[in-house]
Amino acid sequence: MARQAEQRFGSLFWQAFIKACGYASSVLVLIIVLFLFSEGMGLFSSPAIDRELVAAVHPDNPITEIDEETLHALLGEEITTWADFRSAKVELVNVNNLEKKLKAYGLQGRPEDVLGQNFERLPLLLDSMLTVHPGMLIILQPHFVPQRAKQVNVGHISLGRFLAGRTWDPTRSPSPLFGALPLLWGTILVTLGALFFALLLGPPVAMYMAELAPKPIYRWLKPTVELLAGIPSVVFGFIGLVVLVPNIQVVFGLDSGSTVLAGCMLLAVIALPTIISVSEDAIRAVPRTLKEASLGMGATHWQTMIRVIVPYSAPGILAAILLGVGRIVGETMAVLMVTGNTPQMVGFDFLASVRTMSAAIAAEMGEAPQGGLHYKSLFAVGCLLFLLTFIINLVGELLVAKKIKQR
Amino acid sequence: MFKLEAKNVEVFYGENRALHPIQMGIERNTVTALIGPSGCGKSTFLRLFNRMNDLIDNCRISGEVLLDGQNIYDNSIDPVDLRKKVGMVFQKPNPFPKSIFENVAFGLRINGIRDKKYIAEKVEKALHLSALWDEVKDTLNKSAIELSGGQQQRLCIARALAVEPSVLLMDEPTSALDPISTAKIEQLIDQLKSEFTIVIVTHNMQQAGRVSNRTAFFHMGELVEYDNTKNIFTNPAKERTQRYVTGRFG
Repeated sequence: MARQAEQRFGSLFWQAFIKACGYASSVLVLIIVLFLFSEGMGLFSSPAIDRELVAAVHPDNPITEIDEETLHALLGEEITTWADFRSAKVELVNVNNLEKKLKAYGLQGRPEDVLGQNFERLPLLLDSMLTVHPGMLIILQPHFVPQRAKQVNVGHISLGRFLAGRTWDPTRSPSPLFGALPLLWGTILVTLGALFFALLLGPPVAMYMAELAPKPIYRWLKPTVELLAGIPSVVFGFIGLVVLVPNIQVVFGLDSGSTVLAGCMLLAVIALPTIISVSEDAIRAVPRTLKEASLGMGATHWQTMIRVIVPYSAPGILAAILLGVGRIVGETMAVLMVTGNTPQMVGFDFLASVRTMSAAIAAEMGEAPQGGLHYKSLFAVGCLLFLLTFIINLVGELLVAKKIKQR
Repeated sequence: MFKLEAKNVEVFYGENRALHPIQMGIERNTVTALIGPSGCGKSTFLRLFNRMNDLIDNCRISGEVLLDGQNIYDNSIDPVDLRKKVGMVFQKPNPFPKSIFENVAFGLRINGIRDKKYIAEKVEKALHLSALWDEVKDTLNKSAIELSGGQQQRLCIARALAVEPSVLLMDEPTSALDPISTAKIEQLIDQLKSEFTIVIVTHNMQQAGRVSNRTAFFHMGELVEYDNTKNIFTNPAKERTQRYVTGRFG
């Protein structure tokens, strides 16, 4: 009796333990996603200006809020007059041009000598400048802004400009540019190219391994493919950097071989083991009876492969490809090392340098102060990456489910 | 001349002997049943006639198997061509995951036939032959997987018949089916023998008695007895046959 009770308790305990593990991991995943989005979405409720800076104008200037787009137009000197303020000429004073502006105003010698060690007298000077240039726009730390000047709100960073902006310059002062489109496009371009190479090689190799390879060859091929899966991606990146990049540079006569093409080829190799292994399993899962039925009808082995094995294993092969895509989209190190890591907007140019989303996060996270705009923007990029893989997986699941239903 | 003839055929799987030398002739337009306990070699023997044993890696065959007087294991014979003349229906219904129409058209398409009208005619004819036409004529584009087991097996028969073989091999075609479907298939076999030479493996002795003209009893890789079905079941020459058909072993 005691033993029975003990066994019963044991089984209950393990059941509860497994349940707890399941719940805990689900909750953990949820928390991670929530954390990602809460940090990332914080970007879009922040003013489009460095944290420690404020914008201020002449007290008579009727403007009260500058939105992100106007601010960038002002900074880029695309807007030169205040439309609502007697068309006064915009006189921009910010961290970057402060010294130049002071000189133009007539300041002699080193600013430290005139304004004091910590620029204590800067507000006073700006105050007098404000009288001369009523169209002045001051973007400086709050304690430098003269009493008389009117602080204006700077609009929030917009989601639209994040998604469609064509410039990624997260450290630009005073107002960074968070256009994630070059990063998104970099990821898409690299993924498409890698997918092309992986599709060219993956399923055919899987078919060869499952259907055609003589046993001695298979005994070598299988472990080789599995070994490939175990190589850390940074090692692939290193090989790519030393072998692939210089060769691409020579073959295409480029200034630099760090290109999308290098990333594509490398990522294809990284994704291949996954695609091959899963596809091979799918092909081997084709019932023997179906193959026999086809061969028994007088179909050749080739006809059987094309007309029976491929259609039947297609959902599995599709799943394999999607797993590969997931691997490609999320791959960071290798792609960071060989694609040139340049966040620029390119077209369908596989010989250009790009920076992918994952590479941007990896490369920039170390230099982004925690809680700052840059930091938040990288989380926002992370959200975008998450959504991209989520959509790919979702579409994949739906496709596979539909294909299987058709059987 | 026999339609099919086995001349001193032996089969080995690696070191294991699957069939002792077998001598057997099968007449045109008859139904021949191969019976015997599991593992007796009856399926191996059946698969000799369309060289399906070739697909097994370590299978070795000696002796001659003749179809219309020609040795099908001759080097000049392509098993792919042979299988077009010798159709096969398997133990479990194994339709392709395609539409009903495409299943039957499969054999025509792999022969390179593109003429849609011709294919449609042949498909209809094959489905008539397998007595499935009336049940599926309105749903030809439905997936074959949605048919019942018995319908699937008749579809497989239609698929085999569409390429117009002269011999039909059946490997326990009703073992996975319910009694009603089984009866339909048996009825079908009876109708088909006027056009085809049928060899059927069965472990159901009543079935052998019902459908076949001649019966061969296999045991331990040997052909024990081969005679008219009536004789095998009522007056077998060998004691082993007697004991098997009366259900004392097997």
